[in-house]
Amino acid sequence: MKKVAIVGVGLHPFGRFGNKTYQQIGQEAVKMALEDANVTWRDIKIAYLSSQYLPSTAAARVLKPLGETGISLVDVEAACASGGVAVRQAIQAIQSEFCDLAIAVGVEKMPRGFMDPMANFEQWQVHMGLSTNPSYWAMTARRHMHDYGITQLQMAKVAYKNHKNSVDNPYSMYQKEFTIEEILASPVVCDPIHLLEICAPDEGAGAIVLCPWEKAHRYNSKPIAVEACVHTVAMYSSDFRVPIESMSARVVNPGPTEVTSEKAYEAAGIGPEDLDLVELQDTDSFCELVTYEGLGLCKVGESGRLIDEGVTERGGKVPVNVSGGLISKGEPVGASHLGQIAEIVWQLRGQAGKRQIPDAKVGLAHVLGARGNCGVTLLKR
Amino acid sequence: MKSKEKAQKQPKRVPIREDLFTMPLDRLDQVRMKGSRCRDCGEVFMGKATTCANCCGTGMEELTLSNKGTLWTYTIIRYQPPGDYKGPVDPFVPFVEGLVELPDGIRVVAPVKDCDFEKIRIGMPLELVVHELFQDGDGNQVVAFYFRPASA
Repeated sequence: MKKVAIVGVGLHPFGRFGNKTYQQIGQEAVKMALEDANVTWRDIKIAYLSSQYLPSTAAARVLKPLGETGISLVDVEAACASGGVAVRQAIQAIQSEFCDLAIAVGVEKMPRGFMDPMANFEQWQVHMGLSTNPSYWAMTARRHMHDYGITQLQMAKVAYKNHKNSVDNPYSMYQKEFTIEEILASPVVCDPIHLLEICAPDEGAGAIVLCPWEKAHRYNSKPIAVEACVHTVAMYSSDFRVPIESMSARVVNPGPTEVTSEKAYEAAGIGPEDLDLVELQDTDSFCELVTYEGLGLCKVGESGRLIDEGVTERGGKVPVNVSGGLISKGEPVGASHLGQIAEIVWQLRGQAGKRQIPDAKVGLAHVLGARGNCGVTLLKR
Repeated sequence: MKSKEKAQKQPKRVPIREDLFTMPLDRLDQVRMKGSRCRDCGEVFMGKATTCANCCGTGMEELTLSNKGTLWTYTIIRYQPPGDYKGPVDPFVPFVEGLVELPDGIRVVAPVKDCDFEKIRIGMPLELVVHELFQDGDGNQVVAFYFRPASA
């Protein structure tokens, strides 16, 4: 398969930006990515734009004002994994030799508070009060705590780490450190998950310019290789974080993070032991822990030990969510994966400033969302 | 004649979701939840399923789900759920949301009511309650379900 490179990244900060339109937010990220790749909008031959909360034809609404060049502007949606699909599609456009320069863009401007329940639930579930999205994450956490002894303190340590990391990230929404005590004293959203352990919906955008690896040096002196980019949707009875109405009590299949990362590792010839940093879906602090297990950073049930031993801290063996993660950046759903990729690209280029992981060579980005939509991208310099 | 008039005044009961309950709905204590079982692999689904999500089989048979189960996991809903929630809102009454494991081989997401939050534990025995949740725009009583700690 033709090797693909990232030659430009752009990021609009994640947060709340008042009356600024999603078009402006998206265009800023795109312009930054184009500049980074030393190309113009006219050079781009196909664009994939991921969002979940923007109106129909969002790709055209965001990108046409940059120049109506007549190219294919494709809308992509896969809940929290939307960005993973946009990137995967852009890669395939290059691998199929459709074009040399493709762009993947993620843009979001979300309403405040709980997500609109009708996006994820049936009317009867809403009427019965089964439509609190984080309740499904909480129920997963509660069962895992019961089975493996993960503690509330270990969960709080994840939030502590990510908030602390975000202090050095000007693209993050909060950039504020909280103590373990403050985290555990914050309101309980759904037992056992506290407010400071959960990501907030917000606004933001990210964009990456891709081209064939052999042409990458024309555009950027520090191209980053996409070693794998995989999207899958959960197998039967493998994930009940997603809003479900019921699940099997007899069948257990490997979860979407396990399946997707396994495919990515295999395609790349890279294993979890090779990773220098990971940006993963910390929708809530428990989700980060269980994702350590799903990505193979540790065995099932051992994620609590990993956080206790500091393995995933910025100075640890496998730093996770050095950017601050979604817990402190917020989650502009369609843009989150592009934000993860921007962070990893900067890290691999040695451009991450105070957040820089020394000599980082390999990074993994992971998103997971409704109905078990999962995306994993493996990057290498 | 008299009994017929009386019957007309009684609001009609409708299920909150089609094919979820055994019919009729006139004696709610006798109503059970319905499921579908795959003839090929035996997997059980809530309500009516025409295809098996496990094995892609299309031979599905109807079954009546057990009205007893155990709590497999849970959380506590402390804030009014978003959207058109039909439970008590003025004031909102916090409740347990759980996955209830039935002996049929399925776990069902359900509200769990009438239980002390301090005493809730994984594995506790529960029983089904089918009840009138709200009156819809056509004047029908909409029938829904929850679980509560088993009486025996």
